[in-house]
Amino acid sequence: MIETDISHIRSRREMIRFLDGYSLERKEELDERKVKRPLVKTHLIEVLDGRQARTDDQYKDLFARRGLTLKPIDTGLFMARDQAGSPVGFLESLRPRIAALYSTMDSQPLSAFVRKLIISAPELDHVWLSGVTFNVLWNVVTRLSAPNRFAKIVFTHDSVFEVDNESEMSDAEEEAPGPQDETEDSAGVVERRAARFQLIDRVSVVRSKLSSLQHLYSPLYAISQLRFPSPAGRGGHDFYDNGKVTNRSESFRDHRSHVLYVTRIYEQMLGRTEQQAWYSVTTSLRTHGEFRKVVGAPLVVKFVEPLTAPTFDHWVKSTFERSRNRFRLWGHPIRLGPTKVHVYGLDRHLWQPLFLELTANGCMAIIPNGTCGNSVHRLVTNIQRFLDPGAQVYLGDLPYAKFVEEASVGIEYENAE
Amino acid sequence: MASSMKTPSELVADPVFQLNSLLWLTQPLPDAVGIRPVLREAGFEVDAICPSVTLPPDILLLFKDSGLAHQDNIRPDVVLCRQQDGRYGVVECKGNSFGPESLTARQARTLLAAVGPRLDEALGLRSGTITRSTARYLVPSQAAADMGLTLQVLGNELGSKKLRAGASCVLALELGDTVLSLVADNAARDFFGLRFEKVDFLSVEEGTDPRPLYFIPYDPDCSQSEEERAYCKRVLFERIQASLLGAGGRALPPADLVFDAEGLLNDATLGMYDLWENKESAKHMRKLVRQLLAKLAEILRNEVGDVFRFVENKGWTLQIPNENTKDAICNALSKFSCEKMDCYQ
Repeated sequence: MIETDISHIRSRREMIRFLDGYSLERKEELDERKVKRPLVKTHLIEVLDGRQARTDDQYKDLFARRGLTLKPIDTGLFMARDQAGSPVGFLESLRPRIAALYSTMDSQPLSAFVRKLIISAPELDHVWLSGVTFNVLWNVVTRLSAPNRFAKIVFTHDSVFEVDNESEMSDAEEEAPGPQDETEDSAGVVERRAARFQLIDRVSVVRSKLSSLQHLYSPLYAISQLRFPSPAGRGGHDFYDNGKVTNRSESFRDHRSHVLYVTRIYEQMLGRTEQQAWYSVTTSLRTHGEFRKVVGAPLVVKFVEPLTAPTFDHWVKSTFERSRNRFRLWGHPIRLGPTKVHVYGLDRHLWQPLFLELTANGCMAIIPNGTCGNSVHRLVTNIQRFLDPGAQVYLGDLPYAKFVEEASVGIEYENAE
Repeated sequence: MASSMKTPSELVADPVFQLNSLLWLTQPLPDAVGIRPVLREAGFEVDAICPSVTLPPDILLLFKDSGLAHQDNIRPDVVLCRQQDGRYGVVECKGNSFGPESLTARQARTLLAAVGPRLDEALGLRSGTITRSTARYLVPSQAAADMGLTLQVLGNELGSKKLRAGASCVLALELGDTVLSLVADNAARDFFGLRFEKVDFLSVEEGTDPRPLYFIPYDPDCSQSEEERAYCKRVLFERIQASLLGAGGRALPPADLVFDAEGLLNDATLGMYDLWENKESAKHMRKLVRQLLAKLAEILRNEVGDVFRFVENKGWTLQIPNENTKDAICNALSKFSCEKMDCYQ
C-alpha cells in the first residue's frame, strides 16, 4: 500500500532518519509545487484506557484482531502491515493510551483504512480534537510561533440536522466523512447552514482578529484543522479534528515532536475529564460502617442558538433510530416534551454507558465511572461540527476550555529521538 | 419514541423524583442551564446517601423507657453537609405529610433524636465535627404546613420524655407553569442560608415533563404511583440493558460472559443496590432483573439461538462464539424495548 520499501528499517532511529529524509524530499517537491509522492501522515489512535496494551505482545494481539499485523522493530515501535501483508507504515506507542500510525500512503486510502480499523474495534478510537480544544491549541501556536509566520486554520460546520428535505433522512449510513473525503463532484445541493473554509494569514493578524470574528460568526468556533508552523523551517504540521496530522514541514523529527506534544496534552485532558466527570457512589468507612455518596460532575453543553423543534427532532431521530449514526450513540429516547428527551444509553463505539438529557437548549450527560473520556471529546467535537459551533461546554461548573488549558500547562516538547 | 408526561402534583410527590431533584440541587453546574443548584451555592454537598443511622445506646434506652414508638435503626435518604462550618442536614423525602400517630412517625422520632447533639456519633464522625444539625423533610408544597406541625408535635413528645430532639425544618417542592421551586420555612432558610422563602431552581418548558436525569432510578422501599413506578422500572431496565449490551459489544469472541442480578443492579444504580438492607426489597429487585433477563434470553433465542441462559452455580451466561454471533446478539439486544418488553419492529 505504500510505494517505498520500508522493510529494511530495524530501529526507531532508522525510522526517524528514513522519514526525515522522505519529508525533506517531499518538502522540496511541495516548494516546487510538484509533489511526486504522498506526504508523511500520522493518525493518532486512542487505545482504550491503555490497560489492554501494556506490552508489545499485547499491542500485537490487539491490532492483529483488527487485521493490522505488527512486527516489533524497537521498544514500542512496530512495522504495520495490512491483512494482505502490504506495508501500511509504522505504529508507535507514544503514551500508554495513545498510539501513532506514521504512513506515507495516499491520504484518502489511509484515512479510509484507519476509519475501518477503528470502526470495527471498541478498544480503539480516534483522538478527538474539538473546536474548543483547537481554540486552546491556537493560543499555544501564537505563543510558539513568530508573528510573521503563516497560520492555517480550517473551520467546518454543517448543520446536517436542519431538515432541508425528507430524502436526507433516508440514508442508512450516516458516518461522518473524513476531513478530505468530500469532493466537488459528490456534493449535493442542500439549503442549510454549512461553513467550510480555510484561513491562511500571518499569526499576528489572525491573533488580533480571530476572537472578534468568532464573536460575529459562530461557525468560526468550529475549528476542524490547525497548522502548527514548523520551527525547523517553512511549512508546518496540520492537525485534524479526528487525530490525523499531516507533515508539511521538511522535518519528521519536528513533526513527531509536535505530535508528542499534542498527544501529552490530550492524554492529560482524558485523565482530567475522567477524574472530574465520572459519576459513582464512593464508599468511606466510618466507625459505624460504610457511608456512600455520589461523586462526579455532569457534562453540560449550552447551545448559543437554540435548535428549532424540527432540527431537534431530526437530531434525535437520526441519532437513535440508526445504528450507524454520526454521534455513535445508542438508546431508546424517552420523550418528555416537544424538545426534551432522556436517554439511558451507550456510546456505541466504545460500548460504554452514557446517560443523556437532550433539549433544544443543549445537552447534559451523566458519565458513569469507567466510561472513557473520549466519549466526551467525540460528543463535543460532533456537537460543534453538526449542531452549534459556538456551543459552550462545561464539566460541572468549570468550562471545558479551562480543562484543555490546564492540560496544556507544563507540557514540554521533547527531542524526537 | 415513548412519551411520559406527569401531572405536577403526582411528580412532586414522588420520592424518586424528590431524591433526584435533591441530588441535582447539590451538583456543580454552570449558570443558566435549566437547573440552579441552590444548595450547592449555599455551600452544601452530599455527605451520604441512605446511610445507616443507629442511635447511641443511652438514647435507645431512654426511648425504651419512654414507651414512644420508634425505630432502632433508620436509613434517611440523604445527609447534606457544609464542611466549612460543620452544618449537617439529614433529609427524608416524603410524598405527603404524616400524623404523629402514623407508622412513619416512628422513623421520624428516631430521626429527630438522632439529629440532636449526638449526630456526629450516630454518623460515625469525629466528635465535634458537627456544629449544627437539622432533620429536614422534603415534601410537596401543599403538605408543608401539616408536616411542620407534625414535626413540632413529635419534638414536644420527645422533650416530655427527656429525649432531646434536634432541630427540624421543612423544604417543599412547588411546581409552577414554567418553574420548579424550592420553598423553605424559616428554620430551613436559617439553616441553609437561603435568602428567600421560595427559590426557582428548575425551569420547565411548556408541555414538558420537568424531571431531571435520574441518578438513582429506582427505590423499592418508597411509595409510588403505579405509573411512576413503571417509569422508574423502565429506566432501571434500560440501564441494565445498556450494561448487557455494552458488555456484549466490548467482548472479544470467543467469550462466555457471566452476569448476576446483583452486579447488574449495582451497575444500574451507581452502586446503590448494595445499600438496600430490606431483604424483601432486594429479593423483589432481583426478581425484576430475572424477569428482564428471561425475556432477553427468549428474544435472543428467537433471533440468534440459545446463546443466553441461566447456568446453575454460574449465573446468566452469554455465549459469544464468533464475531458474527456477537453482531447478531448486539443487534437483537439493541432493538429490545424495555417499555414494551419486546423488540422494536
